[in-house]
Amino acid sequence: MTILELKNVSKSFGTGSAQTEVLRSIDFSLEEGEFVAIVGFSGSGKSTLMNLLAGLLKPDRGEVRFKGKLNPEPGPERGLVFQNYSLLPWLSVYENIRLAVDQVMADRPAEERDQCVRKYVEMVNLTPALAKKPGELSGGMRQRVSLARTLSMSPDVLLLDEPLGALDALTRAVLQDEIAKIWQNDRTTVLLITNDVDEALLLADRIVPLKPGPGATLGKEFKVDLARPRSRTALNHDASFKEIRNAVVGYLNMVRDESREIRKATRAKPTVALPKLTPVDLRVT
Amino acid sequence: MSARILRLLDATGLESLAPFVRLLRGDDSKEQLRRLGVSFGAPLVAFLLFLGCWSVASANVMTKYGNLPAPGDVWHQAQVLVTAHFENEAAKEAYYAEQASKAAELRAAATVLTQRGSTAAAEKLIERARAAEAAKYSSSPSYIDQILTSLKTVFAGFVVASLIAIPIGVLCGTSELIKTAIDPLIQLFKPVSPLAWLPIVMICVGALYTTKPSEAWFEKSFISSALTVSLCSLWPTLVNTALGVASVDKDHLNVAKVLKLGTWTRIRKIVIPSALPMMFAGLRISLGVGWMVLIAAEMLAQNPGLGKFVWDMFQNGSSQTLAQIMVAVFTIGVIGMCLDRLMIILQRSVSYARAN
Repeated sequence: MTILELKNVSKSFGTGSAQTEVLRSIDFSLEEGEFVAIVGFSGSGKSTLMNLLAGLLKPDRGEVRFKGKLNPEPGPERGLVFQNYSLLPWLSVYENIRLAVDQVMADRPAEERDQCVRKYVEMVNLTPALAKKPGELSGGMRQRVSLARTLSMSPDVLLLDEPLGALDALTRAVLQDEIAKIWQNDRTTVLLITNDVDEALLLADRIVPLKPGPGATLGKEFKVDLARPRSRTALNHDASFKEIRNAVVGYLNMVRDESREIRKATRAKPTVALPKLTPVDLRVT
Repeated sequence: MSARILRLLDATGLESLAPFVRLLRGDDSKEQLRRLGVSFGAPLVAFLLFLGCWSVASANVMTKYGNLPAPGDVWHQAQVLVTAHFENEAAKEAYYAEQASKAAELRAAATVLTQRGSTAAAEKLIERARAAEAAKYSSSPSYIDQILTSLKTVFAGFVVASLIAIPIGVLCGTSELIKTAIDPLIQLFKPVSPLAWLPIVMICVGALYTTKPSEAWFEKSFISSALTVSLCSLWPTLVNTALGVASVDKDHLNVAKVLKLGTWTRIRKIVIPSALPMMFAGLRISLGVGWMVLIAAEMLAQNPGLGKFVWDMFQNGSSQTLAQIMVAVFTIGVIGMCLDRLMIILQRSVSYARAN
């Protein structure tokens, strides 16, 4: 069953002559229980796409449907994990997650909500940092809190917006494994946006490239039918992994070169046609 | 233990004392001594230089009340003023004790008269006893009394200013329309001097505050000084609150959207905490402005307080006048410094490390 769907969606920013089209005619659908990765270069409109899916932005044209509902308002059922964590710096780890839990489980007794917060903190291995403020945590730990906050809302779809983009390679690997494990356990629908092809291959069932903007569109998609659970080390020697990887990377490079050509061509065109003017009389009176 | 003290020093903005603690703890004594030398030695040298220049000036500047007072004279007058306060307090106590014993005697005599049957005479005595108990000791307020009056007034004015400025600031910060509407008014009234507000405030208070003096909670002079302080000190809080609220991180507001927080929860859980440090920076400036304005208002309006003390001394023209005015100057400075320190502590207690 399709849970989240984009139909012919376009989005521009700015007005008048300063208007730039970021996304053009995007068609995309996410099936229930799927793990899909959208891979694109930086600046190609990935975050805009994510904000459209989450409902934080409204499309200029086309429609976004969540469970059949047209252009829905943002809500906890589409749990967004922000690229820059977006934790409230004046609240502790516990309080940050509690804020979400209080909102989603408003009708449950306080004790149950408390249990729920602790469960998700434990799930991301942060129990020792329960009382710490985000400012006292490393980037990786902050992203775990952010992940726990989103998971605690028990969303129907998990939207991960370059969640590991700002982390170092080692922390990144650890968190990728954790995300894989969490997904393995409860198989929620996940949409991951990333610029890391390996990350996408490790986690996703399907990879959809986002062509570079302006006016970005989705490219041809790749199925990733590698067996799960996937182990990083084993994948390195897997022939089909290498094959998909090369195909995706090759495709991405190709679309990037194409877009460069197009941009160069448009830039070369003279934008203003000068009128032919001949002075008739130059005498100063 | 020492770690806790260090954290406390950090929170109160007294980091310059930290080397003492570290020295006692025994880490890197050479470095700590060097830091102490800088953080205490340099200000000490500057202060001594200041005292030196002052002494030279006082020896050479002749006024109509004698020489400009030297640091020693000012110190002496400070002691005189404090002693006068305690003498006054003692005299007051003695007066009340005397009145009480007088009343007791009268009542005792009245009881005797009642027993003998002459109730009319006894009643007269009791009347006199009551009058003795109700008698108020009258003296001009001492220096310390003036300080306390000024502090009370500035806090009252500051509280009123904050109660007006914070809600309006939040409104301005949340709504672009309201901000655009109010902004010219803020720009117009912000630079107005307290001395211009004062007559208007005094006349309005005189016209509107018509409660009989015997029944009134506050004196008119107190209200007009406090309101003048409010009018001048609400602007920094208003502007800073509006700025703090308007610059709430957009990502945090997106979190509120995804969580579907209601308007009130959003303001309480996200907007206000995020704006608090800015708000307190504004409050700090407001309190400083308020304290400066108050002294001027008291001087001009002859309202009780430190300003009136300075003005009275100026009118007095005795040989101690100048020295006592200088005592007042230092007192005003020290109190202003302490108020600022207090606000720094509050400001730090609501600040948070910016994550991301």
